[in-house]
Amino acid sequence: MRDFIDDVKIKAILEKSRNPDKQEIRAIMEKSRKKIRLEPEETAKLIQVEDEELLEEMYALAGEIKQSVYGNRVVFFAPLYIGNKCINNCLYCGFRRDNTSVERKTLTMNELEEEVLTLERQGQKRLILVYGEHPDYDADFMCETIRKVYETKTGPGEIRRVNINAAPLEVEGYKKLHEVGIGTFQIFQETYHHETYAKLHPAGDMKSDYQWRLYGLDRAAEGGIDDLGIGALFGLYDWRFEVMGLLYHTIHLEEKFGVGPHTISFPRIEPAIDTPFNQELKYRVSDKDFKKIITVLRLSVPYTGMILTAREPAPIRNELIPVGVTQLDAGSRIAIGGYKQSEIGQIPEKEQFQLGDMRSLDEVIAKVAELGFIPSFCTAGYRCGRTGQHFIAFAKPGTVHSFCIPNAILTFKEYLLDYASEETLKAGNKLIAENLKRIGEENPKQREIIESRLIMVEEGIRDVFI
Amino acid sequence: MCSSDKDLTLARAICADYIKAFPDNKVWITRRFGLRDSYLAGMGEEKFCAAFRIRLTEDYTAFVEEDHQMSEPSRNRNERLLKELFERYYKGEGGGI
Repeated sequence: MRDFIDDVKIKAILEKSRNPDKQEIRAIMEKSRKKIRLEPEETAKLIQVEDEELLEEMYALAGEIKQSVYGNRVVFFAPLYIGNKCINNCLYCGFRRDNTSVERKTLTMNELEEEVLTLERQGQKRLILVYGEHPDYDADFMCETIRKVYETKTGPGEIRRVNINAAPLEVEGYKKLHEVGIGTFQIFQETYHHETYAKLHPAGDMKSDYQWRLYGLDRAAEGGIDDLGIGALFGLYDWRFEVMGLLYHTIHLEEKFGVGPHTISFPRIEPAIDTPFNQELKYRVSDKDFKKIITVLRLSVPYTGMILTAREPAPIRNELIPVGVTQLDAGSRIAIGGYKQSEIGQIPEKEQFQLGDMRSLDEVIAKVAELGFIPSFCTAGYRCGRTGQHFIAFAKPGTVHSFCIPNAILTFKEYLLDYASEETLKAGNKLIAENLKRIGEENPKQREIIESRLIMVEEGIRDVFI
Repeated sequence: MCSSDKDLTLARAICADYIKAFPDNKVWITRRFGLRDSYLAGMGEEKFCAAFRIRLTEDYTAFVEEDHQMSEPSRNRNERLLKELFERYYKGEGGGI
C-alpha cells in the first residue's frame, strides 16, 4: 500500500528547486508573511536557498511570524523517561535491544512519584513522558503513570499537562490515553525516507513497519486525541528530504482531520553509549543548516508549535529561539530516575544520548527573559477546549495574544514567586512590567484584566488563567 | 469514553438552542478527561475575551464568551439556560427555545 510520502516525487521536487530565483523566493516569503501554509514546491525552494542576503531575510521573517502567531513567549516543559526497555534494535539508538552497556530500568510508581516531586520542586508544570517500545509499556501502563503524575503534588507544585512520546498504539490504546486526559501524543518518524528507514530498523522488529509508525497519529486522532506531535531525527538521512517529509505529514493531517500537528520536533542525532552508528554520519546536520531547517519549517507551517530540546547546547538554543521556536525543555535529565539522582548529587546513569544544554530551569528562564521572551507554563488551552481545530480558528487571525500572552504572564509570575532565584525574580518582574506597559498601550482593557489576575496570584491563588 | 457521536449530537443541539437565545455570544461544550476539557462543539463568533465556565455535570462543561465584564445577572441567566438545555437533551427530551 502506498503512503503519503512519495520518495521519488520529493526528490524530484527538491532537484527541480535548485538555484531558486530571488524574486520567486521573495514571493514565497510574502505568502509566509500572510501566514498561509506553504505547498511542497514552495518549501523545496526555500530549502535550496544559499544566498546569504535571502537567508537573513528568511530568519527575520521567521521571527516575525512567530511573534505574530505566538507572541513573545516560550513554553517550558521537562522530559521524564519512564522506562528504557525496548524490543527494537534501531541502529542509532542507545536504548536498542542489543546494547548491553545500558542497564534496563523502569520506574516503579514510588520512583515515578519521587521524580515528579523533584520536578515540581523546580517549578515544572508540563511534562513529556517517554517510553521505550515494549509490551510492558502498553496503554494501561501509560495510563497508570499518567494518573500518578497528575495526582502527585507538593505545596504549590503540580503537573498540569502530561504529553507522551511513545511507540504507536492501536486506536483502543489511544482512547484509553484520551480518557485519562493527556495533552499531546508525539511520534517521531525518525526518517521519512523509506529505504533509509528499512536499513536502520532491522526487519522483524515492530519498528521496522514504516506505515504502522507513519499512520500512528492517524490512529491517535481516531482515538480522540487532537493534539499530535510529529518529528524527524536529523542526521539519519538528507535533512532536505526530512523537512519535506514533515511538511507532507502536516498536509496529510490537515487534509484528513482538518488540522495539522500541534508541534514539530527536530532533534539532531547525538552520540550515545556504545552506538557506533552515530560516530560517522554521512548526513550530520551543521549548525547553519539546522538554523535553516527551523527557519524553513516556521515559514512553511506558521501555526505549528516548534520544540527545540536540550540536546542542543545553550549558544545554539539562544540563537534559535528568536527564529521560530515556541517550546523548550530545561533542567532536563534523561536517565531513568535522573532527576532524583541529580537532586541528591549522584551522577545519573547512562542515558539514551548526551544532552548539550545542562543548565537548570532557572538559568534558562533567566536567559529567555533576558532575550525578551516571556517564559510560559501555560496549560489553559486544553483545559478550556481550545485545541485542535478550535484553537486554529482563533490562532489564524493572530489572536492567541488575547489568551496566550496573559497566561504566560500569569504562569511566569507563579514561577517567580514560588521558585525563582533572586536574580531571576528581579529580571522576571522587570520583563512583566515592560510587557504590561506595552499591552496597556495597545489594549488598556486587557492590561486591566491581567493585572486583576496578577493580584490573585500575588495573594497566593494558583492556577489562575484566562 | 472517547467523545462519541452521542456527545457531539448533544453538544451541537445545546449550542444551537443557546445561540437562538444569545445570538451575540459564543458558546462551546466540552467533555472532561482528567484535566483536559475536550472540545465537542461550539457556535458563535469568537470574542477573544475570557470565557465564563459553567460546569454542567462532572463530565460536561459549557464555556460562554460574552464580554470581559459579564454581569452577575447575565451569568445566572446563561447558567440557568445551559443547565436546562443540557438536562433536556441529555435525557433525550429535545429542547427548543
